[in-house]
Amino acid sequence: MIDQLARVFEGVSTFGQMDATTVAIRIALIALGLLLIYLSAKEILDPLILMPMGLAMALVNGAILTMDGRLTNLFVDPMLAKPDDVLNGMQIFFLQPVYNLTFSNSLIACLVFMGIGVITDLDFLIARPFTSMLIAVAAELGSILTFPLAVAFGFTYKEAAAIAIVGGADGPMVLFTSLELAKHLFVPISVVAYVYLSITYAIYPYMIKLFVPKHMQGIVMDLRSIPKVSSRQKLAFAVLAGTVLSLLFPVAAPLFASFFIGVIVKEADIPRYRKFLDEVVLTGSSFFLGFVLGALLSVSVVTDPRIVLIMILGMVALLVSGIGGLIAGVVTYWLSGGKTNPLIGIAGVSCMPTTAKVAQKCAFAVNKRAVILPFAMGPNVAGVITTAIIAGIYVGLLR
Amino acid sequence: MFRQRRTWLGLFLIVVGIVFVRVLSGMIGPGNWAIFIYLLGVVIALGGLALVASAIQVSSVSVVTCPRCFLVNSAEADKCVRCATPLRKDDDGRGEK
Repeated sequence: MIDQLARVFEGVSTFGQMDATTVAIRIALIALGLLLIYLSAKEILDPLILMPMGLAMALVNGAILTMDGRLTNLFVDPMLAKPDDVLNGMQIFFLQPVYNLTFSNSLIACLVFMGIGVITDLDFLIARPFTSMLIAVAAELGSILTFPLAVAFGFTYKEAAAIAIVGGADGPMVLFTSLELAKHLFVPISVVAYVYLSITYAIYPYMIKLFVPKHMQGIVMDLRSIPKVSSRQKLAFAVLAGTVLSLLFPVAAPLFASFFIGVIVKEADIPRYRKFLDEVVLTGSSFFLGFVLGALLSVSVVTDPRIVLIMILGMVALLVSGIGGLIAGVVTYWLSGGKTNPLIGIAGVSCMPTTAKVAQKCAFAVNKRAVILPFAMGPNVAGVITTAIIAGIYVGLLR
Repeated sequence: MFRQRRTWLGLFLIVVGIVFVRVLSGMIGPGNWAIFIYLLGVVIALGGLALVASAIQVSSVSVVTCPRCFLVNSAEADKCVRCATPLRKDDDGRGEK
């Protein structure tokens, strides 16, 4: 009778087949999933990715069952490697086709990047290329300094690079780098990155208050006119930049191709492609990114004891990048004779357009007339490109 | 764009950078010098790209910012296209002095 009940309620009965530590981790993961759903529903965290991620995380850890004598689930098995196993897995695990055809070859990162490209405006980057690049490079401080730190904590060079790129604050880049350099740490690094990317935007305003004097935060920038570059010139620049970056970093060429095809579709003004990339590709890939990442975070996959270290290093990377961006923002303030609001520095931490909005929100909190969002878009776009460059350097040198 | 000297200087730097990254660093072989040449090439090429960008002609468009939702509207607009807030056009965009 008990055996039959155990078979009927297999999700619950499998708790009895696990050791105490695994049970605790499983319960913690279910609780974390539910917390993500709650915080996303309250819009404290970004619901676009973290809502499906939280749901999948809670469900996959609840729905553990016994199959062929081992504990598993029917969502996805990322450990399948042999072609026969993968083919069989695709008929059993319902997210296996999405994982094998879009995650393990980084296609999902490229699809997100196409969508990012199509919402990117190059005007401010082209109007102030050196300022934007200076801020964006400084905002990569976390991606650079976390690398030796992670090596000091015992990670290999490849693992350290995959963790350090979290400081670039760009989800697709984290996916790409961890898949290329440390596939065994891909799940924890990616989940930590995406959760932190949401949390950090709540932390950055406090960091701004700590590092930037209040009188600088409310500086009003001249917004009587904004720079405008003709679509033809932006198109030419996008083609040139894409070609040069692909020549420099062939390993990251799929990312550059994806980003610049988005930009080119926008500038060439092809409305149907533009709508397709923005509304279908970006929305669809963001949804599956969150859902599959959540499903990958099952207790049977998260077994690496170094996950706490990854969480600490990921946070350090993001905070140091934010500090680097703010320092560059203050330098820009001095260089411009006090005409530039230093908060645009935080926008160099690339995740588009959220950090630019954080800068605007903080400026607005001090001065209701301080509109800096358009100016923050230059470093923001440059940040996307520099993170891809840092990823290209890491993958190129360490692969 | 191509009439400006900066464009050609930028393109030259890009070529030099690519030669550093793709040819010279490979010829030197593995080691710290190769990494230095590789990174130097990246900096030179990106500097060239920024130089090309700086040579692109940039015009300016007059705008009015919505005081409520911060949307940048055309200077001709009477109210914000997003939130319909009436737009003030009597200031210089720099706010209170």
